Amino acid sequence: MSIDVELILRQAHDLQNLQLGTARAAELAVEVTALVDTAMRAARDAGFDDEPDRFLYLLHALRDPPLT
Amino acid sequence: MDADVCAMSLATLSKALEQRDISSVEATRACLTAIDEHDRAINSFISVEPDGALEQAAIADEEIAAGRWRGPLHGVPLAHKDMFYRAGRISTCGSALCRDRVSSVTAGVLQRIGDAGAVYLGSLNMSEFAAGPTGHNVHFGHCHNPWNTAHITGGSSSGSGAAVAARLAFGALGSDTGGSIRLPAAMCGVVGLKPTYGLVSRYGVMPRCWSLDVVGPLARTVEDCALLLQAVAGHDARDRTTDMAPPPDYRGALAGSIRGMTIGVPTNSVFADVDADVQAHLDASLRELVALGARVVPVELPDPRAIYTLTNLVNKAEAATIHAQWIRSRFDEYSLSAVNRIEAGFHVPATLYLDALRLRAPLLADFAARVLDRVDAVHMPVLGIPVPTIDASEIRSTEGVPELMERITRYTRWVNYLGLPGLSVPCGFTANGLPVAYQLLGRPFSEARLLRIAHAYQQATDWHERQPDLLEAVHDSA
Repeated sequence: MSIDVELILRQAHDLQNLQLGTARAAELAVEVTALVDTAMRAARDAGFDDEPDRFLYLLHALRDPPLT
Repeated sequence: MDADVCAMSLATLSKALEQRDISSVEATRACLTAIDEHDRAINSFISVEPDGALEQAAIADEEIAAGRWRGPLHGVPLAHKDMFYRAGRISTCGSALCRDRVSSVTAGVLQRIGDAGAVYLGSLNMSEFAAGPTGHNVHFGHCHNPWNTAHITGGSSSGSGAAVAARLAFGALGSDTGGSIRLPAAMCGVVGLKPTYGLVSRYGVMPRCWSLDVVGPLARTVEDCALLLQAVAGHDARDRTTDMAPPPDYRGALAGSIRGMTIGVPTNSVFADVDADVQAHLDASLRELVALGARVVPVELPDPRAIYTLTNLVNKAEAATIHAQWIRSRFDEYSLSAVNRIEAGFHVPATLYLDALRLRAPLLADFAARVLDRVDAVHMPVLGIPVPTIDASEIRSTEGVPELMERITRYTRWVNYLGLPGLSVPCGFTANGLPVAYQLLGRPFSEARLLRIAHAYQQATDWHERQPDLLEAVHDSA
């Protein structure tokens, strides 16, 4: 598969024109990265299970029992 | 006569149709007349299909007369958010980009609704590409709240909330990625159900964010919602995320008692700054549930603000991925409001997006252990402030709009990250005359339980029977 350099350049150009300033985006990235790091640490401490599709599996495993 | 017909609930109309006390053609004509008279005030429809609707209604009448009644939706006039594709028809998705775009497939939910014999009145207004919680739309005109047209309807299923509240259709389908069913239901005073992720097929439905999107009903009563959910719930081989288990009997589940059920009320600080007027109605709804036999217990939720941020990462990254090609090639056709929401996703690193997805399972497990294992449902606001005006939430007009958007979605957005069902139930009106609603959250696939609790509440209250006076609404907005 070849890399579409033109597409990448066009996308980079478009990104520079986006409304959200890159400085603000960088600030947000720092804040959000910190939050995600904290959440990942907590999840690992609690025995984080990285099995693919774990979320969908859990959603079904936690299913509400039938009403009586 | 027309107004009397339109004032019926879906369930009441359904019974009248089955018993042939009224014909589907009469009911459909009544809706079309109401749309003609009142929709100019609220702009809830993007397109109306009178000929097709009357043709479908006539077929329904013939079938019912011949003893071939298909079920509770047979002959019932409905309308749906304009993002459920129909083969050979245009679905605008609320966008200028799709104004002339003809779909090649029919959405699984529309096939089911059609097979159930429902009449398709037309396609409903929505936020552009379902991106926006207010109901603003610069391409097709803003949708206006039937209770006061100067105020927002909520979005993104704006037309679904407004048309059902204004008695222009007996029910509607919407979609919910972060509150888009529950918010317009709450702001327009109707019932809205965000089902569990995977309960309802999304085949042939415009994607907003594939990890969070769900399709669900908006209707005047809980019973009506149950009937609509029954028609669309269940496995669809064309949407691999759909649940394989057969859905329960949602209407049948309404009949049971809620005595002894446990209702959790969050104690987190994020719930402390709910507007006093809104809070008074939420408290009153809780007292009503207690009077019906439910038991209230305080619960500390895992931090909703952190989950909200993770939801945003997933939402923004997937929306940007979906729109990347069009944003490159047709940027000018997007509204500022839509592009502002979508473009932030280009700045989300893949590593953060993937971590946000990986955290879903442990956070759901934590939420279950700390909350859902202890209660039958969580009771909380849908919207913690009185319904804002259109002007105050116009993205160009006011400073502080991003903060307002966060206030609007504070109690709905993170629910989609956890995949849980959420039901919005009307419970009063604030001093500005706009509706208030409470939200019930439950375990995965607990829709029957939530509907039972809310139905019991509606049997004891009459908020859902109040109707907006559209002539007055027009006057107010002048």
